[in-house]
Amino acid sequence: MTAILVADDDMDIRDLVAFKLEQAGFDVTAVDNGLAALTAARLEPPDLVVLDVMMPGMSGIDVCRELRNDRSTSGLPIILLTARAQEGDVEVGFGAGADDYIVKPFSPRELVTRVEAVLARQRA
Amino acid sequence: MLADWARELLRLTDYAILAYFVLINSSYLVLIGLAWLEFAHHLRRVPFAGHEETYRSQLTQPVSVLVPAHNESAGIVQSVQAMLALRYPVFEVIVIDDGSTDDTFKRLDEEYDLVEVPRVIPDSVPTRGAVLSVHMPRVRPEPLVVVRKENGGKTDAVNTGINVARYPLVCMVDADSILDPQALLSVAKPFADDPLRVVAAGGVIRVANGCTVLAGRIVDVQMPRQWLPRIQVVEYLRAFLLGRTGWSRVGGLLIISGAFGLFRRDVLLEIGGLDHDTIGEDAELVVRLHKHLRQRRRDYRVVFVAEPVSWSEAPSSLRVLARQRRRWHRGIAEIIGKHHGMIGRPRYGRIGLLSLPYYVVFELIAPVVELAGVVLVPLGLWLGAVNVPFAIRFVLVAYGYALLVNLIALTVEEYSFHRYGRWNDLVAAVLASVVENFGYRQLTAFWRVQGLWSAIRRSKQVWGTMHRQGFSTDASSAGGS
Amino acid sequence: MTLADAATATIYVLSVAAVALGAVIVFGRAARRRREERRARLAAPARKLLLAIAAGDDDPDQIDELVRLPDEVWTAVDANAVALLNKVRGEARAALVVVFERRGAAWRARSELHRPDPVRRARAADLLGILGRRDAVPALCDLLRDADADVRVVAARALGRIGDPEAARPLLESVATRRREVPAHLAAHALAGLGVGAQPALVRGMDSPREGVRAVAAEVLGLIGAVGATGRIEAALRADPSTEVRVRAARTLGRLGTRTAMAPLLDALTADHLPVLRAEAAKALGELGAPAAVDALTAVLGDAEFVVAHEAARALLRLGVKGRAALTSAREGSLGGPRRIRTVAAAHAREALAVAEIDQHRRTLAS
Repeated sequence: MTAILVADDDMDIRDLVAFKLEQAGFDVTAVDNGLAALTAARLEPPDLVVLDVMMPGMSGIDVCRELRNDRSTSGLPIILLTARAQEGDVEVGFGAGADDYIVKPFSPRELVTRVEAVLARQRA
Repeated sequence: MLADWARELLRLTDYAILAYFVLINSSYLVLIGLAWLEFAHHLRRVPFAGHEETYRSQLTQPVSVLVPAHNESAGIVQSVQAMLALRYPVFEVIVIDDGSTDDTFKRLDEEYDLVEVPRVIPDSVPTRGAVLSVHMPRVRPEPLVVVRKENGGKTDAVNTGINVARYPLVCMVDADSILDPQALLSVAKPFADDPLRVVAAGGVIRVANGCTVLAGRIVDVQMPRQWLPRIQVVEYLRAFLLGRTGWSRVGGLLIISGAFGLFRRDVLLEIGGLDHDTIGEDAELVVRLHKHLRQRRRDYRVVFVAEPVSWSEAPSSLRVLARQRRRWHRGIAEIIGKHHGMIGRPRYGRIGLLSLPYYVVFELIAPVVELAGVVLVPLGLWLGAVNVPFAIRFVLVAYGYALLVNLIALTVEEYSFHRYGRWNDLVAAVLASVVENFGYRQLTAFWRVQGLWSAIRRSKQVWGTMHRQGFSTDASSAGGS
Repeated sequence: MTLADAATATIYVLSVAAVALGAVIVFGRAARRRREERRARLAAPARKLLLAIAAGDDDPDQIDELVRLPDEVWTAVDANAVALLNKVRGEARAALVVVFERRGAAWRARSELHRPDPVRRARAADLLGILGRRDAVPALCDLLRDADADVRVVAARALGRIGDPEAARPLLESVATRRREVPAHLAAHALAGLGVGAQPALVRGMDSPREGVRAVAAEVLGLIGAVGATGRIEAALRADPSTEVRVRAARTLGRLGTRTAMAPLLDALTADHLPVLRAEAAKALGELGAPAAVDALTAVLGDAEFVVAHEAARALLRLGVKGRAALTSAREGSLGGPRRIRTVAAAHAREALAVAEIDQHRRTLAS
């Protein structure tokens, strides 16, 4: 089963995303801060990571960057979740190495679609 | 054998000191009561504070965060990382390296791959040390600016930062401050709600000792293990959280800490930035702000926001604590000396009629009275001016009342923010309130008196110099305003 | 009573008070803990349902179950539900809204709008905004004049969320209401949320006798991209008595991007205007992107006013090859004019070109 790591300090979003992805047939690990996400990803690299940008400890951007710098995780597909999508923010996100970017408020169904699309691109 | 009149004088003095203690502690109670009202008002409204909207709005005023740094090599990268991750729509972080002799700059360079930029810096407020170079990250799109300049002191660093800043709001922080992620949004809210009047907003400073810090953020709040910082936790709660909120509620907030304050840049320019010759430069700034705006009869507000929090490492050794308290008190003395013209004048409204007189009576000379009590009451006892029961009651009322005030402060904290979750933290806080009276108060009173003395000596010195030079044309004011 | 007795009495009072406070603290904490545990316990089953709905399952049975939850349990998850409303969109949101509506939340909120307690009014207004209730718009417009400042702000925000253009005029006017005004940029943000339907009201707002109203109208017309109003904005830039309004007009013309705006913007760049207006005009000329403005901008590169020179340099970056060429000559110092002006111009040009280079470098790396 495809493993997905979800990191978001907001309990509602974390549970929601985990629920939806599990419903769609994925194996989900959920953490509530950046450092835990990094540790979990390094310990057992998932097939895809969903990161909230604003988190205590390390931000999603920082985690993304760290994952890209680390050889064992540099190929991981990463999707960022954020509340803001003005020009500069999108640049920062992609600049850090993210594969896709979802703006909050988001549609859970769309999230699953995006996840599947990124995974498909990855396999190709 | 002491003359009767001397004994009588001593007795009266002892009673007067007792009365002073009753008054000062009662004033704290009043401030705490006011703070309580303010919290109750504020906390109910948190659900619809609209921070999400502020975060998403294009019209939210951008902020320039100024971080003056001198030899902060140990924590600067983490600190800057955390500040860049603050939750706010548009902002820039300006680090001013004030001629550091360690590898502060090198560490920043390594982390962010800095490249020099020929940034033009206007001379909006006067500075002393020249700017050597300005840097930006070469690749990472973070809104970071690092300014290297000749060493000139914290005031000069901040003033340089004000010049470099491009945005209408300027936030002053300490390089080792740890900010809550929401801090900027919260401290900027008064400016959003009342843009025409609010000119300055300050936030709470809490003690970071004992808390778990993860990548520049506080993730777990706990009381410190050592007694010295513990006592300071309670002290900060009483004086900073509650005291300043109380003052803010009556519109008499005299000072905002430089460790976390947000100001309108245009008003800072009007008053010429921070003053180089005062030691408590951040407090002096706000006092001068009041003076300037009241003189021009402008409708303005200086507010204290209880919610946004900045955490600082409190001194854990007596030596460092002593230096800090001497400096703080000297600062207060110098500020009051410099602005004594405002005291008692109706033109300066609540600041002149309420806050400043309060500061003179209950802050400036408080340590003197405290020490006097420590000396004169035992003396009176020994010389028979007062009897043992009085002495006991004196001690209990003076210190017991203070303990009560502390407990009330803790109660208010418990019912409003309750940041200290564990039961043993609560016990530690209560015990610290008790222990405070056995040595801590007396010591800080002594150091504060030292600070006061050095302020007096310095102004005499400057005054003396001026006399000798026959009042040269470049006479900067020593005591007058 | 002697002083000694008074002191003794005080000591007793203090002791009792200290003990009482200790009890109050302990009790308060224990009570709070208990309350939270209870809430979590009650909420647990409901949360699962809530998540399912929020995840986009429009299973009618689950919706029914949430609707039928006893009030007590619902109160435990109410805050989560409202928070989720803010965080999801699309079908998920629609399903949540249905739950709220069927539970009568909207109806209750409507009646709470008239409560004496401002906090309840504000909470109700907030909820109605989140639920997107158009039928609450008239009542919310009334709240724009509420005595409590927070209520006014929440009402404005709610109207912005709901997006009914009917709210345009009340929002505009709320900016200038004496003593009970709504802060200008909050009203502007709400107005921007009303979309192009607000345009007629905004254009009319440009004729208001109140400076604040005109300023907000000018700003929002730019935010909603009301190209059709360009003429009116240009007129405001040229002739409005208030600098605030003219500054916003300049900014809007930059956002709208029509060529006819060049003439009044160039005019606003001249030295007899206030620096803030000139700077805004320079910025707007940059946004228009027309190389015809290069000469005028180059002329102010060495301006004594920092903001004007700074914005001119940045604007020139956006005016294509001609703009770059002008900056390069300025940097070399080969512009005409007195020495001081040339030095200042060179400094600003140097900065602009350096920053542009870094931007370019970053872009290439990211792609």
